[in-house]
Amino acid sequence: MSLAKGVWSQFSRRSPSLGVSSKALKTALLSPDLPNGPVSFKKRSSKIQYQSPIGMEQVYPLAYEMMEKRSEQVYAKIDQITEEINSAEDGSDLKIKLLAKKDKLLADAEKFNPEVLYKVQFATNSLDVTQPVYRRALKEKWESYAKMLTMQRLETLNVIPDTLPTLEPEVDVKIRFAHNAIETYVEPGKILSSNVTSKPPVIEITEFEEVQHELYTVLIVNPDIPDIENDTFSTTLHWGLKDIPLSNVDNVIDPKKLLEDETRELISYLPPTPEKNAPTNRLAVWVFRQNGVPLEKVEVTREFFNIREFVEQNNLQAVGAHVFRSTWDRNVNRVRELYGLPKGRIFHRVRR
Amino acid sequence: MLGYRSFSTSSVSLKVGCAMVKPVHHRVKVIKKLLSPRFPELKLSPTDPRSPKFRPEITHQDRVQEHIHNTLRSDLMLINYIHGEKPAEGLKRRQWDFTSPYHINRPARPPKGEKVPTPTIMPQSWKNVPGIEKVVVHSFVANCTSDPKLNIGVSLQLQQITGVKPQSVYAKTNLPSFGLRKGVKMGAKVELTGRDASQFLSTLTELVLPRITTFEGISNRAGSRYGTVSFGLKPEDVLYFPEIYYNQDAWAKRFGMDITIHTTAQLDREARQLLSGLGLPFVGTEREPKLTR
Amino acid sequence: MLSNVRTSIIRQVDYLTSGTQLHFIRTKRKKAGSDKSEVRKLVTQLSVLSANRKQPKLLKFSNEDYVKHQVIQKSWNLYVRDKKAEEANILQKQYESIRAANEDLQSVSKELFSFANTREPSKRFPLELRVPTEYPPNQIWHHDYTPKVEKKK
Repeated sequence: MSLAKGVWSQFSRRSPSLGVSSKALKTALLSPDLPNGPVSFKKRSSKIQYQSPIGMEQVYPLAYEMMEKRSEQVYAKIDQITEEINSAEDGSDLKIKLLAKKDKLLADAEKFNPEVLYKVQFATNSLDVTQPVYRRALKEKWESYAKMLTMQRLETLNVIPDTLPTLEPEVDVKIRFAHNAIETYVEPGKILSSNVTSKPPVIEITEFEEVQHELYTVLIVNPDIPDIENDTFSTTLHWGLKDIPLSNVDNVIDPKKLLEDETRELISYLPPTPEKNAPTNRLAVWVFRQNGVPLEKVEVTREFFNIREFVEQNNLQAVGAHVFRSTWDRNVNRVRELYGLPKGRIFHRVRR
Repeated sequence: MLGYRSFSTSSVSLKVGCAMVKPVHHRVKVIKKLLSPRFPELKLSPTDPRSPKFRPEITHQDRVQEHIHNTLRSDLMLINYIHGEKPAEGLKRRQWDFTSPYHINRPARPPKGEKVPTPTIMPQSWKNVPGIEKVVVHSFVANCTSDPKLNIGVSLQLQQITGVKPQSVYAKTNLPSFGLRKGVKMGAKVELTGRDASQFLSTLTELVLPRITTFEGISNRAGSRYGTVSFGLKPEDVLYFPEIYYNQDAWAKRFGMDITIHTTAQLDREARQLLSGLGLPFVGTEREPKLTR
Repeated sequence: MLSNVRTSIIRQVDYLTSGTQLHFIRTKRKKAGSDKSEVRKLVTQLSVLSANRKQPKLLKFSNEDYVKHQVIQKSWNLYVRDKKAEEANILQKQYESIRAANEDLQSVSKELFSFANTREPSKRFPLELRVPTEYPPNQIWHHDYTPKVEKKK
């Protein structure tokens, strides 16, 4: 006996991604009990052994019906708001507010759909980012772990006062190096070997709001280059990218994207080549929104790069950051040769 | 110069004579325990059934609360309705009038004529109908200074009677005449809320109090003035709790207790009206409170 | 054996009681097994007080059942919330009708109005209005009941 009767099983006006694709899973979620045992269990013995909580089969149909009715009410409200949006002026404050409200209502309508809940909790990597429910779920997940972790790392490693003064994160930045064998994404603050960082990373930028005609700038900045003459450190720009168009779905900056337009690469990738006995180099990956305006006539110098000035001059808004570290290891010389860089210095303590 | 990071590690700025505290400007609140990989079950909310802290609350019908909601509430509202009534202002602490600069941050003066402020009593409306907040069962045993093993007996008695694990009560002062030493365990208390409180009140009104021959009712003078009613049970009366009555061999010693019923009523008489509807009789002349309506 | 007491330790025992703890100290043997039963009783009582090995097993959910639980929990919370709101609404309507009735009464008869608005501090619900149970009492109505007449001193 299937409970599929109302809005949640009609896909004429809703995206098919708001339902579960597997038939077995669908029957498991949309029947009062589990007719073929729990689908998520692989072994047949554990399927047989498993017993659902007592009384669930009597209560679940009523609960499903109740939540579906509420969802129908929300969809009625959405229809109303869509009419108001159509009659409102383009670009006005009212329209923006109404669109935001519509987004929220669309998420509210599907929040307790069991199929959506299953996907959000147990199939997080394959969510359809065009749907407001899924975007909101991803945002909540980010805020519960990755956002706090990134900010903690940025603060403890002092990336935040040393490069840009502060950051209000709005976007989840993930970086991946081609060499990483164990994990795909780099944990913020991780010390990577020079082998790994010798090739430019792939950057994934997850936006939680709907993205329309947005251009992004990415800067990889190293504030730990020793400047012996002034007894201080200087900042080097390792990689600069500009005018990169991203959307909710197409959110990966990889070589393919850079090949589309050569002018997107402000400055070519320079791998981190730290010097022996110098302090660990931090490489901060800053992601900025350009507010739809392409950058023109931008000149950057690799050495003694002033990131704050650059951000101010080009009216950029910092939305996300990441950081990884690099120390001297035995592969540094090889990387220097590969890129045609001069040999590095070896520092030692001098007693004065 | 400010924010100057030197490459050399022997500069004067690195050898400060005091602890350096970096300015903190967290824009994002970091909850460290959520970032730690340890104890994944404890990161779950206590309402999540997969958490070890999960405790199902709604296990059976709550007769007392249903009776209050179905029958008593509308009548209580009607009984205490007075047309055109205004809030009865209580005595409040008096603020300084800031004629002197020393008045800033000075604590407020006590009320006129009294030491303790009194609450403002609001007129009866549909929003402030009294209900049961909690029931506290407290047992103080004076002999615990000489015989500490009595504590175990008291705690066990309260646990078996109420079904909730009790907390120990400790002596707060040193009074040699009473044999009190500060910090000594002197008994136990239990705070009951929700279904536990309802169950305990049902047991009292249906099983225990009717069987006590000397019990006429709770005194009409017993109360905290602002909605809390208290009464006591002697060790002989405690026998009638079913956990003790049908298992008397196991209970070598019974202990008396004070039962305090906290209600959301503003005044004692409203609390008594509510409790009379739950089967608690009241006896004696009532005292009209002076400073309120 | 109810308790998990090791009798070998408690054979020659006296307890020095001080403050909040029981200290078991070996002294000269007094009577044969005089304190055994009492100590055993205390240990049993302590074990009853503690939650050790008495907690129910954790509920185990499959993914599908966990999702179903979430839907059920949310719908129950909404149901309870709606019920409370409905009760508050009814109470408010009753209040409004009381107020309107009093307004009318005030303009109609001042005597009746003042009588209706006298405070009755000693008003109590009758004890016979017991908290309802699923089944009626064994004796449903006491036909011979007469209320107690209070002797006025």
